[in-house]
Amino acid sequence: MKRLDLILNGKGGVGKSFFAVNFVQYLKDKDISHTAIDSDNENSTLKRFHPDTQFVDLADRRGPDGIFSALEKSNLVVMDCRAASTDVFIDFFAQINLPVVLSALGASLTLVMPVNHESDSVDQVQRLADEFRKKCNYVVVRNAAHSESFALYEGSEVRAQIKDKLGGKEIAMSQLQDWLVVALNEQNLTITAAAKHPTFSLLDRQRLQTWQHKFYAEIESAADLLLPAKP
Amino acid sequence: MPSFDPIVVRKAVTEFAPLRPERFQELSAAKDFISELRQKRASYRSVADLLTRHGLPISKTAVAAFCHAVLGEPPRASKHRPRKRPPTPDSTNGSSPVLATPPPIPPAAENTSENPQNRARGPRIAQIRMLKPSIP
Repeated sequence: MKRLDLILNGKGGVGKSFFAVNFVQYLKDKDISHTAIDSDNENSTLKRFHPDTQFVDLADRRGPDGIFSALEKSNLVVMDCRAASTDVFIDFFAQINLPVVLSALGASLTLVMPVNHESDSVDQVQRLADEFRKKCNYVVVRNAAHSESFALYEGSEVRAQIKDKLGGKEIAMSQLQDWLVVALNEQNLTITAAAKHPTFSLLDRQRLQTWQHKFYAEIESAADLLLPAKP
Repeated sequence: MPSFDPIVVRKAVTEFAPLRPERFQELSAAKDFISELRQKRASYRSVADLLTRHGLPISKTAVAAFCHAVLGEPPRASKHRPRKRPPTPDSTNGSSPVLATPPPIPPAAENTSENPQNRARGPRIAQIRMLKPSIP
């Protein structure tokens, strides 16, 4: 079965693009065929780190059609959705009757939703779960980049709803040392590239690999919701 | 009680004098003097001082009122600027009043299949539904 992974949370700065860059790198490192799509016309971070990424213009009324054109050709489409695009997707999916289209393509949709300590990020998860209910799968990414406290999310109804009623999963994305984040961005290097790059010290390369191993283990714990089902 | 006699009533009306003295009654006798002094650009205070010195004690405020009401002088615009006061919520001078507190923001739509035509394009305030604390 094909898979469409939308990395979506209307709140900006929750780690959508950071997750997307590293998830796409995971797919490349594991030789998993996929199509990556960026939809952020102002900060195309995914395309900056992975230049082979396609671009879909959400401001164009037929722009999101490109997601399903890609899904026709690929078993896995990963899309980094720009901030403040929740309404766009809700409207678009209502317009095309999402379950029918997914069924026609033999695909399923997974909403990958990073959350952090802020209420806005949790509110967005709640909104998406309320809207799509059982029409899709859910993976919540607990992004500890800014804070390791997820009190709001942990006490929310939507967390229980996703875990208990909607079959969703949670994965963790730990904090990467800030100087490494700066260095990766300065040189537009993914962690896999930086781990072999001479400008990074041995210890920093080790730190990067340690972080990446943990991240990849988290991805694999939710592989059944993130990757195409094996025939 | 005497019976109503129009002739008697007419005489009583003719002889009626109000208990309260007529306005500017005393100054009316000095109307020509006041008018002449004002034509000579005498101030209300100067007019009042002159009349007071000559047996007609009067204040400059009364002179000014007499000049406006009887001589028809236009009142002068005050040189004092009115103090600016912050607008109050009930001000009705045509401009929008500044409210002390912003109007309440309507709660976010309770959801499911929101109609895009009806969806408000305004501020969205997070309203997380929290689990009820369990009772130990």
